[in-house]
Amino acid sequence: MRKSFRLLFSLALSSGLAASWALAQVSLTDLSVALYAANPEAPAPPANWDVYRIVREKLGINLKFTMLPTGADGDNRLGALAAANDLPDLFEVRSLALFDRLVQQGQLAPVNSLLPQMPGRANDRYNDAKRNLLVTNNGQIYGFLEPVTLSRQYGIWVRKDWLDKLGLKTPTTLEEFFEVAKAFTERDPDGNGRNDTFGFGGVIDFDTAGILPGLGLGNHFQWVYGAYGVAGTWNYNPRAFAANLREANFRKATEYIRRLVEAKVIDPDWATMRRADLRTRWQQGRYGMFFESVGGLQAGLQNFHANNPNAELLLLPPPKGPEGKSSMGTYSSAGWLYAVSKRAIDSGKGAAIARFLEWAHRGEGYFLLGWGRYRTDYTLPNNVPTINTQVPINVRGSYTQMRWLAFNGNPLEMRGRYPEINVGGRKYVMHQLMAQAQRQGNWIDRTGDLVVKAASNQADLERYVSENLVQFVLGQRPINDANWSQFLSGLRNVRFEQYEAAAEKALKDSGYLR
Amino acid sequence: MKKAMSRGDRLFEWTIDAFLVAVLVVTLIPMWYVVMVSLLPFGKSPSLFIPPWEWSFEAYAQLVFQPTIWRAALNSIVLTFGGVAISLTLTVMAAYPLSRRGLPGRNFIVGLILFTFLFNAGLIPTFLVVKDLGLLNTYWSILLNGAVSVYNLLVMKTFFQSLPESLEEAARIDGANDWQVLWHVVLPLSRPILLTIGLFYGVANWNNFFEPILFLSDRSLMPLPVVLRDILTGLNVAEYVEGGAAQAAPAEALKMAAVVLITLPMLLVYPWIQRYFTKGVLIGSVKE
Repeated sequence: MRKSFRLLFSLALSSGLAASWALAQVSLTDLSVALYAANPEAPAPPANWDVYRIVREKLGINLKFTMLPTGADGDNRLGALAAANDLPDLFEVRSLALFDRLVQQGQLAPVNSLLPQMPGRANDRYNDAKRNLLVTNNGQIYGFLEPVTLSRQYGIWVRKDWLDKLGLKTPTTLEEFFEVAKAFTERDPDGNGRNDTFGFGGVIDFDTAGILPGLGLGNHFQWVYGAYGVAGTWNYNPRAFAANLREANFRKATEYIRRLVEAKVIDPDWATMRRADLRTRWQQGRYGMFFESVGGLQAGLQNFHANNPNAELLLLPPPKGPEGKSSMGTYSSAGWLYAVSKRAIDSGKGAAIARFLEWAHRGEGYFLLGWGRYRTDYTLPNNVPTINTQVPINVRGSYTQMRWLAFNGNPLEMRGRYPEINVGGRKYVMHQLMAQAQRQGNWIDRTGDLVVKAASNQADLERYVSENLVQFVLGQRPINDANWSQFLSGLRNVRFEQYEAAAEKALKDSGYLR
Repeated sequence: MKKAMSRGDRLFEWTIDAFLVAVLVVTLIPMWYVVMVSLLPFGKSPSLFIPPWEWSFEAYAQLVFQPTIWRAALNSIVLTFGGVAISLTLTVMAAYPLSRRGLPGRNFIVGLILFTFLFNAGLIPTFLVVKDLGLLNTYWSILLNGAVSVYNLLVMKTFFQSLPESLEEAARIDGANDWQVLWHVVLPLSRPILLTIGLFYGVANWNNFFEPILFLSDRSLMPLPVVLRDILTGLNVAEYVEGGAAQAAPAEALKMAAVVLITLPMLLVYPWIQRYFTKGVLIGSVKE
């Protein structure tokens, strides 16, 4: 009797366990997520990553995470997957052109219906109607477009120790900037008896990491055009829309840069140097003022202070022009873009996607994805996530490969990501510098620029403008009425008018130009 | 007796020598520059000469101590040796019968192969084939896709054709079948071409970058070029640098150290097969 009871009990127990296991298996939703690696130098998360287990147990999701190759290769891979009708359920897109193509091909699903299912995330991140215009087609939103958190981190840094040594004030206008640059070049501010310093360091750089370089000389010289009220590519004037380079002030700004070059206060290699060269040189202490991001500054501070033990840096507000205008440049408020494949929605995975994104937005999911393993990769003194730098980035980076899905730029997060650091006996509060660069730069929101499709001859068009401006600035062509008119009339040869008209139409259609 | 060279001949030889030295210098300068910049310490600008006492191996250390790099090197070795073995086997197996005059439809088959040389399938169809064969995210997607290079196949076919037919006839009189002729007669005489084509395949597989990116999604399968590129991307994006992640070596030094690391194995292999290489690449270039 007892034996039979035991047998029955065991059978009941095991069938109960099997049933609950089977139920768990049935209710699990397979979810493939493909993102660009947040830390390309680190491996993928391990198979026993806590996130996989927690998401399975708490959200009923069987998460499969893959990392897309960096750069254009990621676009190629997504293109191939789309052609094979094999796009991941949720994935990141970095090229708006590819995004548009996928929308036109019907590979993406509208995400409007998912927004109410993740109220916290939708409210905090996707409630900017203007930004959503970039991913809207026929009234449907086709992607989760994140707000940008690290843009506008650029600025002009000035050597305060040199200012003090030469008895100069921080420049606030273009004229003062010129005088200070001249003094830094000619009055041996480093006191080594050699004529080896320059007033300003900047290069022709079209990197779009959070800012929009516009046409011409790139983002390192946008502050000059900003001082004349013509920063960025377009003037956004609904009554007389045109490219800024047609404005009279655009020529004046170019003339100012010519003055800097003529006075030899800019590193003479500026036109051929790359960003890496610029970084090497400011770290060597060759520039009194230079254009750099807060992140770039942080990466180079150790070397800078090793070479320049007594140096002190200040972040300069953008110098004012003759009419009192100033701006460090233009930027876009659009950050990372995540899309949902139509296949995923058709197979009923919408709710799981919303659940996962909401989980990643705050609380446990936010910390696990954004910061890694608590007490191993980070700690939380005073609620500020603090990275454990004893764990190398290529190790802890594995556990934060999905961090862009979590990060939202809240003040505590920024304090954690850009902490106070002490280098060369100086204290740098990086998150404050980041906020300062964003606040004082008078940055102009030109998110609308992203709806303007590249012209078929975009490369020719950009080269034409850039080459001509470089020739003017280097003095290879004098800036006079005849040459400037010739430059402007030459725009016709690269079909600039068509590009302008297409831009105006795109901006008006999308609602950015009213 | 060796005839004394005339003044004009000597002048001509000197001119040729001077030209070759100039070519050598022009070839070596970029390589030298790459090595020098890879040893660049912080605070120095890239230049053609950095004195040895200023050399810094920090860039190499930073790359070599990445946890992903050794796994990637192993992947590259597997893909290179596996790829060479598969490609050489398939190329020999295709080139040998096509080099025999008696093969029925030989010209038609060569024509078909040449067609793929002139018109390839393109990215998406290739991806679809690999996917439908279930090879995605496996080494086989790299090893089998494009395993036979038409160019290498034709070079090898030409080499086989140049072997004296009498050798094959002698073997057949002794009772050898096709396999025995290939294994015991043709292949032992084909060492130059096997090594040359093997090197071609080896270099192509070692440097293969695009196919792994396209066909592999598991990061632990990625070969060295992809991983090195990812490491450099991570180290170079200073705009997104996070607390405490200051670089230990200049970005340029890291790039160049990566170039040296990726090139070194092939540079080391080359001298061992150089003597066969010259002979191998000249196959088919002269008709006598």
